[in-house]
Amino acid sequence: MRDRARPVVLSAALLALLLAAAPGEIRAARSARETGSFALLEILVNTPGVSTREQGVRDRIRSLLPAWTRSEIDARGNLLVAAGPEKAAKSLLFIAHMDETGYLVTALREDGYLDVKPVGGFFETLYEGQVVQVHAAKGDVGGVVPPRPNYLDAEVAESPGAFGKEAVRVNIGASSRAVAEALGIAPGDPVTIPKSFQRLSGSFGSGRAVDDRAGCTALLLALRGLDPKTLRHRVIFAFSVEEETGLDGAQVLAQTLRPDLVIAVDTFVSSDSPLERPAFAHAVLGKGPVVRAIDSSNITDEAIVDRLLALAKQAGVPVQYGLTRGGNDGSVFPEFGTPDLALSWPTVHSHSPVEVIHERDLDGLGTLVRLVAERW
Amino acid sequence: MARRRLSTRRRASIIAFALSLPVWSSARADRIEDARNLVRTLASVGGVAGHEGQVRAAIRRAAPTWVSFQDDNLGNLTAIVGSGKPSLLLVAHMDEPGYVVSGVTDQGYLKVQRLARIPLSPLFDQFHMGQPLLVQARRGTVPAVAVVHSTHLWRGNAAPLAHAVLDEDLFVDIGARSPGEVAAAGVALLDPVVIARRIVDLAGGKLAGPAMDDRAGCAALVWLLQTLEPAKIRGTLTVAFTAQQVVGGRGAARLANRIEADEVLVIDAPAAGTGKTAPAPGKGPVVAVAGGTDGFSQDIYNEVAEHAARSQLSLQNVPYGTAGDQGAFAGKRPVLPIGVPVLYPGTPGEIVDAHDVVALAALLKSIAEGE
Repeated sequence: MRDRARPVVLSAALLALLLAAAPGEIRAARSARETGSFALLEILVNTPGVSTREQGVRDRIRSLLPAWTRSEIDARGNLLVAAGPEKAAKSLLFIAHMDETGYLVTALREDGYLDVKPVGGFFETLYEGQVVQVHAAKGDVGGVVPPRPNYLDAEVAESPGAFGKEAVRVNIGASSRAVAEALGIAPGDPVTIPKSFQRLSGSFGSGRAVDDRAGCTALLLALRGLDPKTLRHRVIFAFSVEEETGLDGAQVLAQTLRPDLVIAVDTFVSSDSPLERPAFAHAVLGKGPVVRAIDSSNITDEAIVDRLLALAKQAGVPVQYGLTRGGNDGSVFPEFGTPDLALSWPTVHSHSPVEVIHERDLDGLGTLVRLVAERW
Repeated sequence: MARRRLSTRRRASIIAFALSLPVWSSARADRIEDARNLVRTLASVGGVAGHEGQVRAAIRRAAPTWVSFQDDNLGNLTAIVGSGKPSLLLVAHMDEPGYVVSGVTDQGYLKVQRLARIPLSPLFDQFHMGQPLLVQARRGTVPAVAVVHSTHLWRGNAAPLAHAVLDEDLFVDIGARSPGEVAAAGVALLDPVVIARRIVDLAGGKLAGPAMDDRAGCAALVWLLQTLEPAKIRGTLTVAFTAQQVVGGRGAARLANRIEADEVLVIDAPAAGTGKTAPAPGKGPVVAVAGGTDGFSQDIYNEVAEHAARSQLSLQNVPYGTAGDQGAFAGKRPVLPIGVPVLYPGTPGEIVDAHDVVALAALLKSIAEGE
């Protein structure tokens, strides 16, 4: 009852704010927004965590967990938080990944440039001629991914060709390998664009690695919102490593945990963009979280989808559902007997420096995760 | 006795010099860091042609308080030091290639038009797609993103970014979903749009980001104003920051008609792609070689080379091409382009070195003082 009433109370408060149109109230509404889900998301998006180098994100998440939680880190690097009775009849596993696409340094060249390799799938042209940060042991070092050598020639316009693979290097302004070494740079160091979450108008926000820091944020929101003493099921919240490189962190969990349901909380790549075709994957940003019923890795049982939709409806959480592309961490569980349900927010420009998300969708996703934990 | 005393004093001064070495070199490092901060400050604001107001304001803030600036109605900013003959004019442009809002779609996306006539990389528009942008609206700067295809939805299809991208292909999203929301956010037709100011520090005194061409040149002139002693200036020194260079040296054309200068030095990087080998940041200022540019004075070149040699300052000789503010002075005044070398010109990751900024300012000081 208390939980069912909560969304109603929230919307009443919001309505009151909107009705009171004096400038002072607008400022109050804005400061309320600053403490919303984007405040958490911003912290996580601004923390680099290229696959295999998720430690910074893991530390940040641990610092944001509510005081009652006890977290542990498994041998692979996954962060786990368990709640609810240990001997409950049913167990649920929520999983969101901490890692992001980017580059890793493979070698320091004699000329001072860095060789790098891409981690995860993305358009490498998005890094061409752009500034990056090398996250080295002694601190961040700026760099530039040099554009293709003929980037100024008119012929490039006729056949721009793909940019990437071995052509991608990083110029950190060092004249030799020794200079790069003196800056603390070593093979394995992650390379990202400068990380900066940016709020846009209309409660939209943008940044690199909204996929899947928004999922991590939803898990944090749920943990902060629930009362562990009221849980009927054993509920485990997992923040996984190495999703972008092949669901590797989740593989370990699938082999060690046998939950009754796994709920992967990750991006719904939406075609809600003027550059995409709306016939497919069309979940509208701002209209609520999405049940990712079918993707490239998993088909969720319709009965589970229906049950989730009913739960959301009962709680008054607007929700969308549909199908899109991409894989999710939960998809490695069905072969061990656990069904996979993927919950998402709609995003556009996936794996680019400007993934866009709507704050209302993230708020709703946090609520939805909590509802599933409490009432499934 | 006198001789002995002198030698004791000399010995003492050698010891003092040796003791001060670490202090001296750390003071030098501080200076480079200050110069790098200055470049970063000037590059941290956008300045599309005809919309250089924020750059003008940043230059005014960074210049010493004794400098008295004048604006003209094209957007040029000038400061005069000293009086009489000879008259030296130094010119650096404030503007950068960028866009203006040309339309708003029914869904609230902005359409943009590129505003630059200088030769640009055919990939200029691609460098903006999928990147954070800034709309410099009248009420303030509004963050935006340039829409790009989703990796996941195009997997297995022809990569959309392998095709040439033009300005008309760009959709700019400020988070509005109707023309009404665009207006409510304070964004309107003709507002300038630039790539977000992501600026990073590299090894040594280098830094990278957008519009280093020619904010590094502007920084050299501001550094000159910060370091020169007005009383030492020979004749008249006019320091000018020009508008609308990238659309054909329009600000400079105004100055060429207005200022009776005996010598003009255009402080700018060579136009992108004019040389076979790119000038290297950190190896000294770049200076035009004879031929290949509309404005080249052998007399000024000789004077510059002499001052550089006297200060043991290395210069990089490069062809400058025909684009640039020097074109506005060609045939009217003796002119020579000289500047801060820029690596990867025309990209959002232009690299410059603060050492070159400081060296160029020192060279200009030496020329202006006629030492």
